[in-house]
Amino acid sequence: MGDVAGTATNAYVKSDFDAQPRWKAGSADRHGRSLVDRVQSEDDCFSSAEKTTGTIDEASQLRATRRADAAHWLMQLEELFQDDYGASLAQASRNDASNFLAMNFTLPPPVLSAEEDGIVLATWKRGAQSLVMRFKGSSTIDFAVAYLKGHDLTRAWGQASIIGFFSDHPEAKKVALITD
Amino acid sequence: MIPNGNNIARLCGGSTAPNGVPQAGAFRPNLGSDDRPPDDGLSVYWLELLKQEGSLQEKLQALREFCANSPVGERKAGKTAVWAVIPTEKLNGAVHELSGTAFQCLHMPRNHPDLANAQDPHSEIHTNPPIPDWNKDSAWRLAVQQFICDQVVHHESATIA
Repeated sequence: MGDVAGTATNAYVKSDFDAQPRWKAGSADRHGRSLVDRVQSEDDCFSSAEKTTGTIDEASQLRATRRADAAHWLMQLEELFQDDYGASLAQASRNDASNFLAMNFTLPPPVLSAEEDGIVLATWKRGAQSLVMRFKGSSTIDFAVAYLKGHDLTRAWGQASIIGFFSDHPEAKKVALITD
Repeated sequence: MIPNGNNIARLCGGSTAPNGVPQAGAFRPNLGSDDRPPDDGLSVYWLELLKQEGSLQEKLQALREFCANSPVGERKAGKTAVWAVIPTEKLNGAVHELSGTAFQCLHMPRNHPDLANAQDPHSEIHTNPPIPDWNKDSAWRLAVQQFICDQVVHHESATIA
């Protein structure tokens, strides 16, 4: 998070988002920052993406690809949910899931599922360790994480904002980043 | 309480088990609404009540046949639904780390006039604190659902013959 304060980083992220406005208007906070501004300053995945991808265009492309993938995954989930309940997923939850996945495009893809009330869940599971997030709408989540601390499986849960979640919960990020 | 050494199965809709793998959302109980009170437990079926011997696949086949012919009118399995199987010893007396939530698998026949209670496999997972309290803390509820989901040892399509 600390290394996104540099001029070059800010210029990159801002111009990238300006070129592809994907966020709805009206999401400015009390400091007048848009959601995009908050994301660029708080999402720790951007900085790592730049380091791993090397160029602005590559990171931008990856983010756009992840957003398209997320749209596809959510469409598939919508079909399953329609089959189950003859209803649509909760729109606010769906939007938050899409935004979160695009923000955190360096993470391995989660399994997306739904609860009976149309709320979207994202799960990363690797062996006994898992992270589950419930997108409640209004940019908030419930989360539950089971992670190995030494040899013991430790559990934690709570509520959080989708912005900066992984900065506040490194144990959750560690689980999500494990690949098979 | 259903004795240890038995198995319970939960029907999971396709949207709670994408790609056929049950996720935590499959273990969300009915939490109540304006026209329906919350359930006391999470509905499951006791496999060995229908078929004591054989593999889990054979026991699930017996459950499919029961559901197809049940006079009670079981929840219909969609084409992407799956059965999630949990051994009772994984839950009976288990305590969720940190929150102290305790679990029990209970046989809960439905007193249907056309189905003897002794032949009704309907059962429930009960918790302490009880399920009506699950609304009080949605993050804790998710952690409990995750815990139950972690105990699944077998899953397969609910509709294959």
